[in-house]
Amino acid sequence: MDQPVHTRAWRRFLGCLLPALVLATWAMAGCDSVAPDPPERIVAEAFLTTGDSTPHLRLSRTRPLDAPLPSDGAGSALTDATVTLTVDGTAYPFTPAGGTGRYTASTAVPLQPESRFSFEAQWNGQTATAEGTLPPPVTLDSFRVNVPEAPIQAVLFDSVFVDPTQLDSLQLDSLRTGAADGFAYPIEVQLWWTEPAERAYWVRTRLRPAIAGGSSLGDFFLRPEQVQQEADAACPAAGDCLPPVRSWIGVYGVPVDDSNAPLPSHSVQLALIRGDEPYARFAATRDDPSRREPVSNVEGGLGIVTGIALDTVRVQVSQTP
Amino acid sequence: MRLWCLCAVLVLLLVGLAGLSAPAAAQELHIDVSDVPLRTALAEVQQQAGINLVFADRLVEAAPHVSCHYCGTDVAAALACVLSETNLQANETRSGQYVLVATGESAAERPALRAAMAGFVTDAASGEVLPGAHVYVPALERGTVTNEAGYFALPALPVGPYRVRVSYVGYATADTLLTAGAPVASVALQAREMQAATVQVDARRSERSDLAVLPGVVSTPTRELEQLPSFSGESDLFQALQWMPGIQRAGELTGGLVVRGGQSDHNLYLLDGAPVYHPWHAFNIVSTFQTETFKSIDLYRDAFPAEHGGRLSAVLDAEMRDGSRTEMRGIAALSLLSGRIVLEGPVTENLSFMVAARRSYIDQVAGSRHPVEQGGVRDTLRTGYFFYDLSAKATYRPSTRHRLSLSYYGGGDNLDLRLPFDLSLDFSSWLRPADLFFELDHNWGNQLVSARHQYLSSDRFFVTTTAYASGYRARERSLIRPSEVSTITSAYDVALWDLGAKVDVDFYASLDHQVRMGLHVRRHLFDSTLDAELQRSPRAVETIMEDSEARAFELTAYAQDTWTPSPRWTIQPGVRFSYFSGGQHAHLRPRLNARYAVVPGLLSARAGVGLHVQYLHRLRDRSTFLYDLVSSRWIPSDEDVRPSTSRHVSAGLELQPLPWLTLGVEGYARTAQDILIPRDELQRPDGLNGGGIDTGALLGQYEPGESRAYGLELLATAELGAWRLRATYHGGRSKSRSRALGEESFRPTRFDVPRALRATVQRETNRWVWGLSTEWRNGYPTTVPEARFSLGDVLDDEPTRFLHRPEVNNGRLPTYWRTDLSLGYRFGLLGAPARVQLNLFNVLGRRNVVSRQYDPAPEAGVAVQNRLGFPLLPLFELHIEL
Repeated sequence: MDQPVHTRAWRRFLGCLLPALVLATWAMAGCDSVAPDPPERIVAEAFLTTGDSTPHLRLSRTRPLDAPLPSDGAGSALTDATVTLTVDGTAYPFTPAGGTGRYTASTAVPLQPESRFSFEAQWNGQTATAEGTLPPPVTLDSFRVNVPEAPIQAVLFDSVFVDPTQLDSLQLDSLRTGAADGFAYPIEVQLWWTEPAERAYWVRTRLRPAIAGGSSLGDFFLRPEQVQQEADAACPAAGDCLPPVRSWIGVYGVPVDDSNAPLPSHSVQLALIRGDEPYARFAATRDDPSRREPVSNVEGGLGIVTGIALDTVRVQVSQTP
Repeated sequence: MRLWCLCAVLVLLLVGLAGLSAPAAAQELHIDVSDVPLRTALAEVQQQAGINLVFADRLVEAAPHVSCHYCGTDVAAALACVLSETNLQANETRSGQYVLVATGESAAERPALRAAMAGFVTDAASGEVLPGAHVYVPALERGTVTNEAGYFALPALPVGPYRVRVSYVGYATADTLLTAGAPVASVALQAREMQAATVQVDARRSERSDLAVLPGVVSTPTRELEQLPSFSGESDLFQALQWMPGIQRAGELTGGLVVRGGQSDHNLYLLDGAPVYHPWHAFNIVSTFQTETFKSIDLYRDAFPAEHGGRLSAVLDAEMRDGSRTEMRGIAALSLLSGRIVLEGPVTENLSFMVAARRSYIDQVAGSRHPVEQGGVRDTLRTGYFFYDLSAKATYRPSTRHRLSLSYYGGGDNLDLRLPFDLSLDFSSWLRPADLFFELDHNWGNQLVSARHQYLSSDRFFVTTTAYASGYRARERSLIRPSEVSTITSAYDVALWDLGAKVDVDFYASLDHQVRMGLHVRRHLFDSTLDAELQRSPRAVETIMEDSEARAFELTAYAQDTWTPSPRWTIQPGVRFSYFSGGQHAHLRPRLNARYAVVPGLLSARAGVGLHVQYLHRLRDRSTFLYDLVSSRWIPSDEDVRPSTSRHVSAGLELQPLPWLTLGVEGYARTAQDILIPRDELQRPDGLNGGGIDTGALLGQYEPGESRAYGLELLATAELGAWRLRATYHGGRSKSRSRALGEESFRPTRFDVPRALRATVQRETNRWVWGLSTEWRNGYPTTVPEARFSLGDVLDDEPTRFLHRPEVNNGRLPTYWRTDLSLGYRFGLLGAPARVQLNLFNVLGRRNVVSRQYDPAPEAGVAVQNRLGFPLLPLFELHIEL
């Protein structure tokens, strides 16, 4: 059947238009690309501790993914930065101390409770800054360690737990969770301290046992560490304490071979840190390096420059005969 | 606020009652007189209509004999018919009283009598009405589309017969003769057979599409959706829709669909007019929408008709089947995933029903309870999981003008586990009494009841009144015993209820104007509670008891005109007003859509622009294993949480260069404001404690942001003999940013896919059906580290290595490519038509990377760990028509 001339013309026009559209959409969509060689950035690390007159800080730089990053910091330390720490309006220049990126001041720096500080580092045309306030000192008033008489049956982990959020990508050929039944001593430690009256802070409590070994009782079900607002650290049981005294119970596990094994004698560091919200964010986000980096409070750089108050105690733990 | 509710309900009741009371005023008239005295004909009208006629005897006596054949409800039209051969006319003086006066004009000088041509379009085999069928009058170059009740009306036509072409995708086009002024007609369409021997190319496809005004609408018949490949091996709506351009299935926990780069919760899913809040099963592998149970499914992308709203991205409007009016029919099917059955048929001449049920059965085959014994200790391990759906609908038609239907849907998922921690594929190693175990008793799902009255009050007015209750609830119970002295118990419940009523009115004002307007009120109820006890050791016990409650009222009114100024142009302006009690938000949102037949029968163009608003946000606590594992919560807007808004524009062309080939291209752009973006995209559940279920705590994990999406879609479909081909290409971007998170530039969203190409080819003969389908697309965005650094902690001896990720979603997973093969065979089983189908998912066995993790621990370089998608999976389905 003959078609109208205008119909044939339209078909010719569209015959040209459609391929052009395909090319246009292909080009328009584009794709993302990771910056091949991002510039190195300043990484600052400073925990200015209330009452400490000889503070130090550490500067390093980011490194390309394929570059070595030894644990001693070699290769990434910044030794030629210009660093100034200003406390309550007084500027203190910091200079390199050795080649590890450590910087110290030549004079004493008064880090008093409620002192305001600001930090500035200049390197390679970059400026990194941070500021904060020093918290009141904190002291572990008392602590109590509870050791069970015998080990208990517990689930031990030797690899990454299955992530239930990734069901679509389960490795069907293994379905292995890396868990096994074993025995462990759950050690309870209760800490007491006093909350300051001035203002609300955050606290980080941590039990850090020095235990050698492979498998571990999953921290997921225990509580060797917690970051919380200080006001939320309520006494676990009535009669334990009254405000302004605060308390926290932590639990860590010591795996043993069997149900008759004695508790290996070991030491545990009990730590109590008081800080501000930036420090709390940093502390709460540094536990999963493969997934994310800790939240930084450094403008123009990475890392953490914050004021803290710290008290630690190292305790030797062994089974009571 | 209570006053608002009261007023809205009263208005709805008044409108609904007006519809119910209208029969008295809209009595059917059947005037059939031939060559009778005028007085006789008038008496007939007077008797049937119950009116008073006032006239001078001399005028009536002097009039010639008259003939009139009229069927309808319009008294004035009936009188005009009777008086058409005289020089008299009837004037209504007050309600129910008419006066006859002389006009001074002869009958030939008066304008022709006009009346509506109206009817219902139905499926010839089942009597099911066909919403969205196209009715076209070639002589007038005008057409219309049937509403959700299958009704159409072309008003104010000169009385007389017209050749009418009625068409619907998947059905043979019918040419029939309908009469303006005649009673409401019924046009039955024959479904096109799918077998090659009887496949007929519908050469008039473009005439049908010329009538569709909205760009972006997907109105594929359920029969065709069932033919599209599906991962699960059984027909599934979400799986089928993925073969349309710009539509993707979201992740297993996100759930739902991603339409043109929008968020999953930016879609509205409607089932017989009621919203469904969690329309998927089995971690989004299948949807709750069983395609066989629906008579129509429309997916509106960006450009919604004014009656729909409350979401930014898309509206899926599904209507359940009323049930066959002609004979009992049924379908039974068994796939690797589930078994299902659909039954429908007439109960009486006026009453029909449809019942459908589906249930997964892996728990029945593999067992859900496993008694074990060892060393005199007994235990029962549990590995139960199933999902189910139950749909039912009864439809009662007391007359052609009334249709009452009652719909029910209930469905959900049930996960019941009691397992030891040391899982592996070596079942024998863990099928033993477990002292240390975890128990999960989670179930979640939807339930809804919808009652609908469709009423044809006159040829020009069609009133639909709907009342519904729709609920989503999730229940998560956990008991974890990781050691002899530690126990974690948790009871978490989420409930959402929508109670709504709405009235939609179709007014066929003239041949050029068809007006639709409506009112919708609904009450939202949100509740969640958490009761947990975390005993990590004898003295380290933490108790959590929280609850959250929110209430909101929403009122919506809309009006829309479908204006056809010329045969080539159709313009659809509309406006939608909405008020939301939470935060006292009110919005007036205009829309404008247009269609132009550039070359009738060959090329048509469509465009649309509009504004949308969404008052509800779906959020999850992204940090905890204790709750929100399988459920999600909807948060209403309030004083602090602004409603999300969007603007969209879209335009497209549809071309039919050959009778068997249809090509389409469509572009779109959308911007959205005040959407909620996670503060930490990389956050995953990593502990027992979360922020709590308080709304404020949940919102603390999100920040307001904005998004934009744009793209171009190409679609080609071909039906030639036994061959069917569908190919789509989507090129576009979807990006977002939150200034509150310090993001100055837009970054790709979670499901941003710049390029996606999908194609299916099928060949269908009398016995065999085979198909090959493939999907190629860019990988999903992923956050790629750009550098490494080490950072210490005040308590650590050595620094920790971290990866620096300056931007979220700055990279992509490798290209995704998958090919599926299906092979079906038809045969008779005990006299019933049956089909067995084998689906080979990922027939090439390509292990696509579905997520990627980077480990910064090595001293040199970064270790990359890929998680891979499913390998080749053989799936089957046995399908029997009862």
